Amino acid sequence: MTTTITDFIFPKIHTFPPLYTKQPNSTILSNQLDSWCQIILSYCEYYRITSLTINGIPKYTQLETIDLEKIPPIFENKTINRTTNDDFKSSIIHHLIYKLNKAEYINPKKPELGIYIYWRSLVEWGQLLYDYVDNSGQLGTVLTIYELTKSDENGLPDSLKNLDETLLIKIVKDFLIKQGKAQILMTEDNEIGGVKIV
Amino acid sequence: MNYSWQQDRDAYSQLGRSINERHTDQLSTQLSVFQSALVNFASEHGDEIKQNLEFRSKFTQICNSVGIDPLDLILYTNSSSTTSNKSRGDNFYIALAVRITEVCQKTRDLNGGLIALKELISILKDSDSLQINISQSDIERSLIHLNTLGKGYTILNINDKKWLKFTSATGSGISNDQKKVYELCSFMGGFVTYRLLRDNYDWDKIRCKTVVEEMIMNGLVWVDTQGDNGEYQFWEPSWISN
Repeated sequence: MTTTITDFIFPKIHTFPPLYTKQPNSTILSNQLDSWCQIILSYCEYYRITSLTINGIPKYTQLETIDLEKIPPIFENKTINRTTNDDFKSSIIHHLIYKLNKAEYINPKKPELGIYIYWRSLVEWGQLLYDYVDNSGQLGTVLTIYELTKSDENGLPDSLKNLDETLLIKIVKDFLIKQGKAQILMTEDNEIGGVKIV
Repeated sequence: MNYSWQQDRDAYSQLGRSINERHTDQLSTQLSVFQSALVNFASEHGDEIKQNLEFRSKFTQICNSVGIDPLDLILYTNSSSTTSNKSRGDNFYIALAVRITEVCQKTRDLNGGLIALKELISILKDSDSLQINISQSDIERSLIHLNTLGKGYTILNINDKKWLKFTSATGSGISNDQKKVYELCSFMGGFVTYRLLRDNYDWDKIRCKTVVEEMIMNGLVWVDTQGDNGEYQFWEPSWISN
């Protein structure tokens, strides 16, 4: 994990000036929104970003070697001097959440906390997690959040390393528990003490 | 102890990776051998495939399972090895016409139904697994076949470049004024403004507005409100793929 990552290469449409203006023609607009969402998803997947603020600023990445403040922004292109305004940004995010189901508010009651970006769906994340626990022979063992995201000892795959803890808990709660494949154990202080995947 | 365990694991995963890679290589070689065998088969037994219905449906199944579009095969087997276009049969142009309609349909929401021939050809070449040479005159000949079904496709000359205009059954053609907007776009590197239209064509305010607004409605241009000095720019979408 010492190598640094080169800058994401945006598709050519990212330098097309009208992309930054919300198009009045509805057919074109829906295409434009699709293009924007595609850009966000590949950008986040490239930098392994799992959450954004509602203004499209990266919040969390699994990669420890990158500085989120130094990577090129999504909604701004300095070479052509264009930015997406807040109103249009929120249309794009709305499209990503409700039309494409590729994002979700971190807390629906507090949208200002930002959104999770699902370039990998909760189901796929859950499957990865389950496969790891299964393959390492740890089914039925109580594992701490630390062991599931940071530990080097049991061959934790890169895809899961440094996963945002809140996202991890969401994956367990929204998918694995519903499937009857996991339990969460609470400590006396009402904090999460561990996860048991069965 | 821990350290050597780590080394073991690295060695194993490296081994796993190299076995995987070898497998993928072998499989893709096999697949391409099989694909080319299929192509040869199609050119040798073309008549039989055409005449025998059962044989044809089996053959199409095989094509699908190895990821070859039967349409590509028709294109390929009828494109013939000679460089002279004259020897290409009607089947080639009909198959090409199908491909052209596919591309036009797929890109219409982005470009409003106006596509540069150069761009069309490059999309056709990209989507085709068998590398067939397609020229502008091939496209024009295919369109003759297509237009017997109704005049939905026309070739336009804008600034010495050829464009294909695709209109739906209800849609209208492209007006002279709209053509002039596109002409100016290509001079200006992709966009026009009201001022540029006025200065170049001496159109009055209303005429500029009418033409541009209709083009926005038809998806022929995109609006950019962030131009220099806040002047609106109207961009032709084929810029994206140029």
